[in-house]
Amino acid sequence: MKIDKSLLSGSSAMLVLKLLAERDMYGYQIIEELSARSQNVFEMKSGTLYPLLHTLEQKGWVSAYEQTENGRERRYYAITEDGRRRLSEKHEEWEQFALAVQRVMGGA
Amino acid sequence: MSDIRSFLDTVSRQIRWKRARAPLTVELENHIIDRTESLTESGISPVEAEAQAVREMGDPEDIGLALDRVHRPSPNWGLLGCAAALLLSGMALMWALGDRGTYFQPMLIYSALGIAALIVGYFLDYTLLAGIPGWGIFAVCGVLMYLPILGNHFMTAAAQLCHMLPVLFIPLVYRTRSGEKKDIIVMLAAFIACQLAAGFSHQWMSLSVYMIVVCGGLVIYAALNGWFRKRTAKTVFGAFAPPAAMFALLCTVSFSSLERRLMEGALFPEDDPMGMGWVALRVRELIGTSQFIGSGDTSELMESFLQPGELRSVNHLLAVAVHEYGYILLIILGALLCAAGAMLVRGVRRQSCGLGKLTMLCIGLCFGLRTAFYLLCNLGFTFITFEGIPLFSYCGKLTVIDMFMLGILLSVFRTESITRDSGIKLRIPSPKSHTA
Repeated sequence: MKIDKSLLSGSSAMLVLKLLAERDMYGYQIIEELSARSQNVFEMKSGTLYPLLHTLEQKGWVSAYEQTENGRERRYYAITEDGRRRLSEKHEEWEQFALAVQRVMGGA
Repeated sequence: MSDIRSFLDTVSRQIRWKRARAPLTVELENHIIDRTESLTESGISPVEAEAQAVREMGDPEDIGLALDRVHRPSPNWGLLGCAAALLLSGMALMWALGDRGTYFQPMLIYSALGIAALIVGYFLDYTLLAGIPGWGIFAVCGVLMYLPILGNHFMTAAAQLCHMLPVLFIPLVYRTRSGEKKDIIVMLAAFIACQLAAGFSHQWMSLSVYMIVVCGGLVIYAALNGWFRKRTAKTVFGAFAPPAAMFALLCTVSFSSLERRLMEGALFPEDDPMGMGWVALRVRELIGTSQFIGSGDTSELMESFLQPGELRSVNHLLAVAVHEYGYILLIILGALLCAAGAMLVRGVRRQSCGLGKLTMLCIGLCFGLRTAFYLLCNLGFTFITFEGIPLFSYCGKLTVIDMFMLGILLSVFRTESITRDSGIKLRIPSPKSHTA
């Protein structure tokens, strides 16, 4: 089932931060992992991901570093302490939102 | 033109900041290559895999526009604001309380030249520092050791130019990331050369301390980051031991009886209140009799201290201003300096590029050390006389150098989102060898 993009756009930062909270990743890995964990519901385009990662980096929620693998330099992203705090806030917000939606829809 | 190249060129054209294009498109290129490899492994032909990988990236114009919105070069307005406040308040105090005829007009001229130097430093690509050849710092040190022989004017110029030596030391510390022994040896030799250049100056005491603290600070940063690998302990010892020994030797050999008495007067002013301790005691008296807001009481002894001249206008203008306007001035100045310091510390922590971190740390230490000693001097504890607080105090031509260094600092902030260690060329390519 194809999901409306607007439902995803508000949660993108939270999903990316969640993945990075578990381990450092580079851009392609994040897209693959997101797709796999959501069973292909979330197919984030790289055109969405990279500006998002750079914005998160500017806000100080993630940091980036280069690492060479098999002769290729990759840019890895790691969540910061500020990022973990923000993730926690976003997660709480999301749970309240999801509960409210469930209460409304559950009664329909 | 291949699909990838065409895609990346379209993305690149949307990014107005030209310096950001290369680092941003490299990341997208790596993504396409990863996806192409994954598709090829699943059985698709390489040509079709590449085309599909590029299609999956999305609209290149949209991607480029989104990246352009994120990456816009802008100065650190907070730091620039603090700098402007320091400059303007220093000039206002000089106008109000200083020797206008002798110091205010030069202060205006050097500040104007300094603003031009700041702009040059701001738009300079600071990563070019990494390309400065190793022999460069030795050549500069040699010139700075020779200049004092030519006369007083050149002696003063050499002392002021010495303040920039730590900036030339940065690339030598940065190169030790390679872990190669020769890079460490060159760095240690450069540290000694900087100390020698400081030692030849008429301001040998303050400049020697300056080199040990600033250059030593950069060495410690490199050591804490493991750049020296297994040679950390030997390198740190080798970095500090010769300069410290040279400083101790200079103190023993060059310390004249007058300088010894000046030092004793600074450390124990009560022992010689009408002689060598007179200045320190008058400054402590100025601060001690100040009000929170408004003018403090003035004794006869203070009146003679407050006559127009270098003591009032240069070395102790802050103490005079605190006495005239109150401790509130010190609190405001302290708040400005703390704000600037906090921004710098935050900048160092956020900076992902090693060269950027070193540059911020170096300039921060240069300014911080002079600020700390100037504040001590204006509280009546004149152990070593440094040039004043950058931008705030009257520092002569050094103001131009200070503002150029501030421009470089702002340049590091400006490019923090796009500068990568991997993209920095460590050495200028030569016909004999090509090193990364």
